Amino acid sequence: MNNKQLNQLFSVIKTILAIFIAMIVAFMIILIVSEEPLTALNAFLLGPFSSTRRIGNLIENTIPLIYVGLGVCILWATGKRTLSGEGCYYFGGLMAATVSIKMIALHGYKSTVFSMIVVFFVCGLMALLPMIVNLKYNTDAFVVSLLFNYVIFYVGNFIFSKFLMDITSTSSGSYPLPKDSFLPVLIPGTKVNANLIVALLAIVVVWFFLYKTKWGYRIRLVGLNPSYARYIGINVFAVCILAQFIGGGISGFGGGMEMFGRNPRFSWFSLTNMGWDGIMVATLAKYKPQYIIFSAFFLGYVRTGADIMNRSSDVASEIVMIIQAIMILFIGANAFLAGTQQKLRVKYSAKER
Amino acid sequence: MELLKNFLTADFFYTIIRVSTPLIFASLSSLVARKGGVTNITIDSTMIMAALTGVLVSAFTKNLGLALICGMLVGVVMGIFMGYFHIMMNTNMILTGVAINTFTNGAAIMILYAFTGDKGSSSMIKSLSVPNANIPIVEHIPFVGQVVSGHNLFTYVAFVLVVVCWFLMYRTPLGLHIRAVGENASAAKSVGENPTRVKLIALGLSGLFASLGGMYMSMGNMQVFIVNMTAGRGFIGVAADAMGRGNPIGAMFSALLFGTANAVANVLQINAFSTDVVMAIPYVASIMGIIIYSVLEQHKKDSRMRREIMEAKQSASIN
Repeated sequence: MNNKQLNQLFSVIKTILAIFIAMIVAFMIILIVSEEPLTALNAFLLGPFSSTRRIGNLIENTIPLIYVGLGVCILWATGKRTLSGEGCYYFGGLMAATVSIKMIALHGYKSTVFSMIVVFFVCGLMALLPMIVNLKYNTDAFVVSLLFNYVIFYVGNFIFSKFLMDITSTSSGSYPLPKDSFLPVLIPGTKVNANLIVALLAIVVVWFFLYKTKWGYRIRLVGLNPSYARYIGINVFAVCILAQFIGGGISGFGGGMEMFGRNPRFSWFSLTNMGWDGIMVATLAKYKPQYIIFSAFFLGYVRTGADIMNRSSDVASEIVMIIQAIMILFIGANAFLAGTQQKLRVKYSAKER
Repeated sequence: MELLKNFLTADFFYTIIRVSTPLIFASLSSLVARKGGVTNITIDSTMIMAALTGVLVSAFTKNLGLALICGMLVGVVMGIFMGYFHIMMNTNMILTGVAINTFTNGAAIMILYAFTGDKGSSSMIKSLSVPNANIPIVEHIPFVGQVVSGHNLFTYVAFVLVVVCWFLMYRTPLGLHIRAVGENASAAKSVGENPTRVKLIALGLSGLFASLGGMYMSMGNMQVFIVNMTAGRGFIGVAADAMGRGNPIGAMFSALLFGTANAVANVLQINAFSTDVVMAIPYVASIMGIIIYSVLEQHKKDSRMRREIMEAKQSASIN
């Protein structure tokens, strides 16, 4: 076994162990907190597969996670860590709702397509500010993007209350979204729609972009070694900006697509936390777009299970966040299992000699 | 003009100090960590956890001292926990922060739910709070007395802590150790320093300061814990520290500046401006603060480099 294979093996083992540890901790918390732990565990583990509607829920929950995960894959590919996905996801949803409600000249799929193009560009541009100030003035990209998300949210909420809020309706939310712009439903009886196909396509596109195109290669190179990239004549500024634009655009795209079929109205009254979840999905997938589908599905499963558990037992659904946190910690921990890996490495290299 | 009158009252300046208090704690917390070479982005969640702990312990034991100690302990533990994963397990700093923030968001709600049966706030249980205090002689001075006196005890602790923090950093061996490790961990190690231990101490202190800010939120400023009650104040604290150029006094003034933005937002809100735009003011101010600080810093660096090049050229021509 050579070194590369060993690295791959250990990255898989570490991921599985991290999930395992997180699940064990979650079970322990359920056992402590719950009065009826078996009901809770049953709902948590088997709930998502118990009916067509719930399987539908599971897929619906997975789709936005795919987008935000892909977003973080690109946002973080240059080695600059930002949290732009969070603000972009929220604003994407808002922009999609605004455009599709206000652009009455367009009908049906024209409206959908037009809104999504607008969303992609607006969110992409919005994600640039933290990166520009980071590159120009060397500010902390993470903190600036995080603070900027609050600004985005309040501006978004302003737009919402000024233009979209439906005061005539009893349900708090925007005017109803135009039904003719909704995406076609794939599985009858659920809300799983064409968004699923678009999300799967997005994975392929992002993978192709990062691994098979010139710009994708440049982005990854800057991520590996910015000084080297600069030295061989790559425009690091442009590359970082491009990555940030596309990453923000995709995150926003994910938020926007939620508006066409999942809910009758736009009703987000706080930041959605999806940016943080995107980091989680991408970390679990080792920042590789091709693995995003698995990590997003896994997280979607855990989340759907927790939702069901929340409704059918006395355990709060926030347990998901604890599971996520433990997984990120152990997957991200470079020293975790490093000793064992080193021992094996020494053993195999001794054998080869 | 009518609006301006609202700003020139003693009440307004009193509000500035009141809303700046958690920012001062947060900025000091960030400062200690940054001096030790770590950007602490878990301050906000440490504040949340300490705020919750303080409220719960005080509600169930009716012992204010115990509540304060438990809250501070939680802060220290969270700081060291971050340090353990970041330094000893060699996890990326941002990733550790993301994990701990996610953890806290979930855990705070779960704990609150388990003890009060409510997922939004602790209003179901009766918790204790730290009293306000008047300063004996100053309180009778017109205007100044109204502004400075009558604050929560935590507020006075915050201002004292600024001085203590300065003294700790620049006048004690521990401060020297922390600064040395933060400046260059390898160099410090080469002269017999233990960077891991020093960084853990710095992060523990950082957590301690943050926990005080958190408890001020739930046991001083308000008498109840509300989910997400910090609203990113920990991050504004990081911004204030960045703008304060790593000096506790500077950090305090930056925190007061952002507090002013907060207070202005409060006043405008009452005067029926669009609440959303007004609420964004503190965050915009913080971003502007960070940018301005970085521009100045870079300018300084550039001119220093230019001067050094000039000197080098001169000495070369002499030789």
